[in-house]
Amino acid sequence: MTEVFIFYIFAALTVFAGLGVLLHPNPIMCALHLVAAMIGIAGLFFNLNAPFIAAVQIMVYAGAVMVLFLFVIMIFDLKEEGRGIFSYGALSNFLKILFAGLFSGLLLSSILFKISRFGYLIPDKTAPQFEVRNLAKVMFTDYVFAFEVLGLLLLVIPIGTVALSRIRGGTHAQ
Amino acid sequence: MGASGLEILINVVKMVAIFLLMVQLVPILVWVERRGSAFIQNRFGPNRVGPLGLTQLLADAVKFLFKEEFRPPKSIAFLYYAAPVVAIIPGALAFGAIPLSAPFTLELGGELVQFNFQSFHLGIGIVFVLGISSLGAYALLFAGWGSGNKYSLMGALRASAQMISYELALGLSIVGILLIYGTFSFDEMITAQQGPLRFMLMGKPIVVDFLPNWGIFYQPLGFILFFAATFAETNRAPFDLPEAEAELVAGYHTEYGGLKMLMFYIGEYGHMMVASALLVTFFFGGWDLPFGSEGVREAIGSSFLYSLVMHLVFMGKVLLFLWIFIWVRWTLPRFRYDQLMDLGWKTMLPWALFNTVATAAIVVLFNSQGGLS
Amino acid sequence: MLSSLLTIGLGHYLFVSGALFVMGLLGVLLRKNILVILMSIELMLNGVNLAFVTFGYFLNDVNGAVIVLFVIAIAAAEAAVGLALIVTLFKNFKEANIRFFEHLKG
Repeated sequence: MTEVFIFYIFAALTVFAGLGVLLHPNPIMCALHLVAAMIGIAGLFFNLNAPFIAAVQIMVYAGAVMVLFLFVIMIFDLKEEGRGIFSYGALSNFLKILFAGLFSGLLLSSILFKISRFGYLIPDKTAPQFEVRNLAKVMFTDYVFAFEVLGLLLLVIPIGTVALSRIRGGTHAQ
Repeated sequence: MGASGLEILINVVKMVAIFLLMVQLVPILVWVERRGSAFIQNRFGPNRVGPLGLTQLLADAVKFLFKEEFRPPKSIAFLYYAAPVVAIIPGALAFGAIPLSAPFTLELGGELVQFNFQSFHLGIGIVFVLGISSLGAYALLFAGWGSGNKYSLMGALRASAQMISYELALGLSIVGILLIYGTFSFDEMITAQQGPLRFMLMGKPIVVDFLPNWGIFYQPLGFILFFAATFAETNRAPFDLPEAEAELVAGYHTEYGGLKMLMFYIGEYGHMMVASALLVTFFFGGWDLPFGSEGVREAIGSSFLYSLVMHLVFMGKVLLFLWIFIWVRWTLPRFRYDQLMDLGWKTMLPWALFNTVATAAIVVLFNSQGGLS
Repeated sequence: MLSSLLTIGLGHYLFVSGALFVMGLLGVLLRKNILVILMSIELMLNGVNLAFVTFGYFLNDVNGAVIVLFVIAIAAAEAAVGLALIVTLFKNFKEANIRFFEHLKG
């Protein structure tokens, strides 16, 4: 029963916070809503018997990435201009919403199909499927190549970031 | 009320008690800080109200409660009022996940039920504590942006940059500890640190009788790095750039007064307590008495009383570290901001990486089980 | 009807995940602030993560969680590069509107 309560509380938090990201005019409030959405998702992970993933989600997303976002927004004082928060162009916006609607319909129907197929699944709550030892075992055997590539990526990314932030001149120099 | 109802009740009481413990330690720490700083600087400190100035705390509390409620006109109401609350939550949640004493068993309705001496028990304790305490940066950002004050904003930006930078060194410095103990759980870590120092060297077991089996003997470098990084994470001197009063008035809490200011204080001291408790748990055996734990258990008999005694041992260790926090604050001068960043990125991070790699190599070369028999 | 609301199954989590993904998609398509677009991408990634963990839980498969760890690492890296790009753009043009950059000329 507690599971049900926890699910609804965190699901509501996540969905409302997601709507806030989409609709709030001020980028700072968007970022704060995104933080709330991430904490909500971490709560759902807890509910899904994956506390390690939840803690990593909070530590990496809410603790580091979003602080960085807020840092950039605050330091450049990026306010939304007065002409409204959405891109202009009636036809293109209509097409965008149309296709997003079609896509969400596709998603909904596939979820309904999944329920009709997997709806009877009863998860094994005592199974330690998300225990850290199991995760590590899979990550360093089956996925070890992906892990190495990820390490390479994480080496390249800081170099690229530093190079980008030190750019002077170029075609756009003023 | 059945046995399970009683169990729930005990758990709730435990949670409230541990939160109150954290909050009630703050006035005592404030008193220690003021008297201690006066002692260090050859002053008297608050000594007029009550014996040794102890009731100064009550006077302060009354003053905080009756200060005028004030909000700067250009501030953002929601962020301004949310910031002090957000400052308390991460510290309280993180403190609740650390075991403060030995688990105790009580007889409820004819059956023995075991309780952990902490608010909630998690198998992944360390990751949870690190994740939750990294949310502390939001209090500073809320306060800085919500106040609508340039100095507050500068303080908040400094603070968030500092916290992100030192979180890396902090996280990497405990990887060595994780490799040695092979677990994320605080309980298993404390169990592993009981007894005299013993490890395998070249396939031979070595026992050192006069030293406890504490983490600091396996990870001295990790201890130094972790200790230094916690100062930066708690925004205390010598890393208190976010509230450098000579440059920024008072940093992110410039516009706060009265009870809201007090809540920031509680948050800061809460972070200090979490840091001290983590230091004790990782490197100094947690609630365990190095020698004679078993003797105490046999002498006392009752499991609950034993837990309380061990809790006093734990709090003694924690208070020692809290005093070191205060001592350092009043003896060392503040860093300059570029020195702070250089120290974090160019000194502590490489050393933490070295510590991680060296520990991993030693663990693999000497003993697959780490330094423990 | 009530019983399907009170027993949380695969579908409930997938609805939340799908809702997040669609909200992120709409944010990317419709918003004009570059930073909000980047945030919407993070929202979509989070929706996908939720779906991964949900399937891992309901199918008793550890692979779902491992993929999520990879996604989190890559998302953090992507956010760092995206923010560096935005900072560079903003330093050069003092403009955060995506429509300002739609013509490829200085």
